[in-house]
Amino acid sequence: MSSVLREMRHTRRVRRLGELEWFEVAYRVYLAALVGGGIVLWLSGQVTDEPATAEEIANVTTHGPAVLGAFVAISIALGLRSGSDGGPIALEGADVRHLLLAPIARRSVLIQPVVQRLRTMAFGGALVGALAGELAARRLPGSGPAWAAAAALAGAATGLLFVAVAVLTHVLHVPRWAATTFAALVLGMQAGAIAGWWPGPGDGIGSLALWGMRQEPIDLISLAVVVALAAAAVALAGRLRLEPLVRRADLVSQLRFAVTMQDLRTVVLLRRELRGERPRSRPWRLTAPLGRGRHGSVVWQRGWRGLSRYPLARLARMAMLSVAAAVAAVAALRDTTPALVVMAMALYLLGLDALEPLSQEVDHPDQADGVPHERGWLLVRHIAAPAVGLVPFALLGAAVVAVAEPAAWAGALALAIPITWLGAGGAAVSVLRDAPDPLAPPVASSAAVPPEFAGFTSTFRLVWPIAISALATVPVLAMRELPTTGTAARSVAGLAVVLIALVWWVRRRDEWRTKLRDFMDAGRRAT
Amino acid sequence: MTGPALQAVELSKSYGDAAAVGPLDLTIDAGERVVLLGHNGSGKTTLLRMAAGLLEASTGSIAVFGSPVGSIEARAATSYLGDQPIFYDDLSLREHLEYIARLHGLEDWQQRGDDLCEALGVAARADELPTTFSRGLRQKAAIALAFVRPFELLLIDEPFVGLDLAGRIALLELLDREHRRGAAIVVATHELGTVSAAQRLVALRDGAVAFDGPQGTADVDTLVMK
Repeated sequence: MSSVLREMRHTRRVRRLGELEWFEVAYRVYLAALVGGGIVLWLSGQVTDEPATAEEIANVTTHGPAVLGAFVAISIALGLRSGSDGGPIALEGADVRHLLLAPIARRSVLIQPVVQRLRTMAFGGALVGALAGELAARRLPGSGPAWAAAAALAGAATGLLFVAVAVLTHVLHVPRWAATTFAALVLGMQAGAIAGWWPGPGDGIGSLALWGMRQEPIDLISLAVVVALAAAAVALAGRLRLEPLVRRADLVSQLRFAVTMQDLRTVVLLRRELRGERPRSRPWRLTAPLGRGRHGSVVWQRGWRGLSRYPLARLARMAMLSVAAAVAAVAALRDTTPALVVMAMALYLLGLDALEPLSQEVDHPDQADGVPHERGWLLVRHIAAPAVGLVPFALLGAAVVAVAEPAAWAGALALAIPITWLGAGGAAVSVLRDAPDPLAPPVASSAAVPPEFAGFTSTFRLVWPIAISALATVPVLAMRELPTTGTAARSVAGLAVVLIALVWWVRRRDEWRTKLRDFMDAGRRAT
Repeated sequence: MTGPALQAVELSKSYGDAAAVGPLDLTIDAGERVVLLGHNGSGKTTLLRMAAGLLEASTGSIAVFGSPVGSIEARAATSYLGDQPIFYDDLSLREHLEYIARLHGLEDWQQRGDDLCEALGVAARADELPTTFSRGLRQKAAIALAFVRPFELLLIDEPFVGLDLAGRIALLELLDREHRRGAAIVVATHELGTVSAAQRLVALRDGAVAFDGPQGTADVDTLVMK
């Protein structure tokens, strides 16, 4: 019967190739080459050709394995999480229904997607590794090809490790809490290795990446372990469980489509579905901090009810994001300015989680349109409950900063809440930007826009909410330069001004857009 | 094949803190024709999906003719027609029929496939992609796929949804034929018109068996409406 399977797969492959739009493929290759080439050129510009000093080489030799091992540890952690969520493969719904319920060995069906995933991840890792190796060769001793080959091998091993760990976690039915705990342990051990306290789980592969410069035969043991894990994953492919495969079958294809369409809200919802993250059937016992019954407090009550059904996993993730933002703020205070990017992203993601009541309203435009109030009136009131819900997370972040930088405790306390609110403000813009637009013209105005410009505008649409979240990090820079009460007060005032402007934008957005469109139409008619 | 067509022992399924089914015990003998009744959310679909092997039981066990659900023997014996038809995007109905029949070891599938398409009124569309069909036609195509392969236990979830009168009649005739052949049939439905042909009624309420007895010994309307 596996001959039937092979035959039908071959038929489908031939048919898909026949239906391929070659122009579309060529355009994708062109875009990938453009973006990839740009990244490579930019990275090349960042690395000088000046040979590293003896001290720098010693530094790389000592700390390189642990630092590069961080990528390996992240790969293991992601694999653990993916496997516990039913990953790493996603089949077609029809394959699950018709093939996996047929009386044929499941291994014969599942081995191909597992091998395919291993191959893709290994190739991607090798590509990134080879590029990094080539760049490293410009400053460090050793030939370019040797560096590229060694780093490519390490990259491929990192990619393989993700898939192998995910398959084994899935097959062994590791519960999500255990996978998360183990992932945290792996990351913690690697962090300790970077600090020089103990060896980390990623050190071996990290050290392998340095073989362009020096060779440690013991690193081959790590490589052998990765190969053994990948072989075990292939051998156990037939034991992948049907229930998660059923769940993922539809969700993953929808998720890919949503990512292609840059539909962030759908991505968030589908990822929650993939993880099985559902609102609690029994809400937390939370009492809304304000009274009920007044006009408009209905929206407040609705928001609060939504928050009280947040599952524990989401609350834990929000706590982790606020801790991550705080740690990044501490790093920025200690002169690692790029950490502010991490802080902005963490606050943005925290906001996306916190603004669920607003997102729910946006998801149901018919409901909002049926309310005898302007949309802005309704939407702006939906911000209140999440804003209050964010306060404990802001205080958690302040506590982390206070512990790490005791001298900055007062500033952290004063700034934590407005910073968190503005960071979440970027998420609010993102949520509202994706809302169905009742004022939109029947034909998309971007229809006649050339692809390059459409790419620019869609990138701008994606980036500007994050840029608003990034504004929330400015006070950290200000406090680093001049840590005084006056700086803190001015920062609070600045944040308040931006926040008020943001709330005003939510309230008046439709009105302003109508005016702008009328103005543009009038201009078009005049010309 | 030995043992009952379907045997669930202390079977339960829960999602987090929400219980969907059981724990329940249920035995369906070979050749029995059973209608599974219950209001929305009573656990019918979950029970059938567990019996088909698409859902894992939280506790307990379930076996088909003595083989654990999911084993090759159980898969060979069980045909499952879910409430949502699922097809490949790039295969015609006829290609689906061939693929599924041959996967189940039936090389001489053409006549059987043609007869099914004829009976269900989809013969003229057999070379088209079922993903482009209307809801009713998709359901008819899914019924053809469920019947084209050999089976001893048929699990069907809400099969009459979207079907026109001709489709309903054709499906009932197919069910009669398979029952006469000796297959065990379990139909989960709200269509009370189909109950008269059943030997046995099993009503679920909140995931537990609320009634289990021969047809005619209970007020069906009450079982469904309760």
